[in-house]
Amino acid sequence: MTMKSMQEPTFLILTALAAEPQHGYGIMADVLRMSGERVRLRAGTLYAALDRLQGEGLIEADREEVVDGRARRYYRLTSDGEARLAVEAERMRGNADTATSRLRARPRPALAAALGAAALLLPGASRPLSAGRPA
Amino acid sequence: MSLEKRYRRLLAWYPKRHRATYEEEMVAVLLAGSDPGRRWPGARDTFDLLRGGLAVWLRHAGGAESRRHWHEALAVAALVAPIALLVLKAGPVLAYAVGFPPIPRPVSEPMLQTLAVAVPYGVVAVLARLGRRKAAAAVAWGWTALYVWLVAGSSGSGLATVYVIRGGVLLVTGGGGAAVRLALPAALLAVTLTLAPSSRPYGRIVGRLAGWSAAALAAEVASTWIFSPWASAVSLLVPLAAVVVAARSAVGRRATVILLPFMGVAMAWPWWGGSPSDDAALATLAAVAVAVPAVVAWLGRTRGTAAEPAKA
Repeated sequence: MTMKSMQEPTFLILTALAAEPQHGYGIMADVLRMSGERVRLRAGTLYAALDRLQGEGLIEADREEVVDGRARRYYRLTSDGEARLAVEAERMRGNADTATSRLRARPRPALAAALGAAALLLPGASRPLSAGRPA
Repeated sequence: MSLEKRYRRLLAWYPKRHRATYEEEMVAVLLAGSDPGRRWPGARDTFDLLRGGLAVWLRHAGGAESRRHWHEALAVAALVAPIALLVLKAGPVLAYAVGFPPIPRPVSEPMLQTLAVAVPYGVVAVLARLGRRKAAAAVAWGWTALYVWLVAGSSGSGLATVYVIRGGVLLVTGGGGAAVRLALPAALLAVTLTLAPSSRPYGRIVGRLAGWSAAALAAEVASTWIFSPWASAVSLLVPLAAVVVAARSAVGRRATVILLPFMGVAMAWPWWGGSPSDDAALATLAAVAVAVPAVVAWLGRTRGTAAEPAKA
């Protein structure tokens, strides 16, 4: 049976828990950092995902502590979660490798033309590279 | 009102079980992420909380626990429905018999006939109570066919006259149109029983039904002793109170959803006239009363792979 690919926030939440257990706010900060500030999880999205992932057995509650009078629960990856994340990472690596090798195999003229177009767009580039002579 | 209270108000939209597990944590995370001095939740956080709540509700609705609740609610509805029809038929007869002024009236043919019409619902209720769901459905279907034949064939082989007692008044009717309207609740009862699970409903809920039925009968009698345009509303007080009590439990809320269109059809006649718009409304309500138990039977299904927790 084929496995459904994972949404990026889910992948990042599981990745955030891969090394060590973290609490909700820690996961949010970690996901923001890992994604280069591109994925900003908010409480509604995060806790809907945590509830779903716990239901699916991919994560579980680790421990609770009280900080400034407020409950803070840590979550950890289960062995199922670990396996699922490894499969997903492998799948993404496979896709990335395929994309990279296909780009490398691309015919050169097209690449040269693309580079030429890019050079034209660069500030200070006054003449097309193909028409240029060595200075 | 503080920011924390406003966040809690937004979290009230989440299912109770989710709140019990995550509310304190979510409040802590929301407060930690908000700017100092902020008094109102931000638009993005508000939208995100509402969207997250919807996602959780949808997931729980398809979850194993919710399925068990729908399953149980359909079993409860399959028992409440025949009892409701029994009370709706026998109640007015009792009210008519001990009506105002409270002079004992001789037992008349209309009273006996209406009571006889109520008997099959009592049989169905007993069978449903015993968990004999298939037998209850068979009796309900058989009674529906017999009822239509008796009323529609009033000029020939059936009943000479069909009596309906409502609000202490005796109404006389007959013919094909009346047959459909009178037998419609019986047909919907048969549909509900056909779709219902064979399991017996909770002992706790069953125990309370006798009390509610007695209260409904008493209210029906009391409504004929009150001289007010609102007298008929008195008999509605008991079902309304039952809905309020049922709303406190997950099974009760679901059973109310299943029974509402059914009760609408059962209680509509003869207050609704025979105009085309009334008939169209009755037909729509009847269609909903068929569709709701059908959807619930699907939601509460216990066999098949979908009932197992999702494994990614």
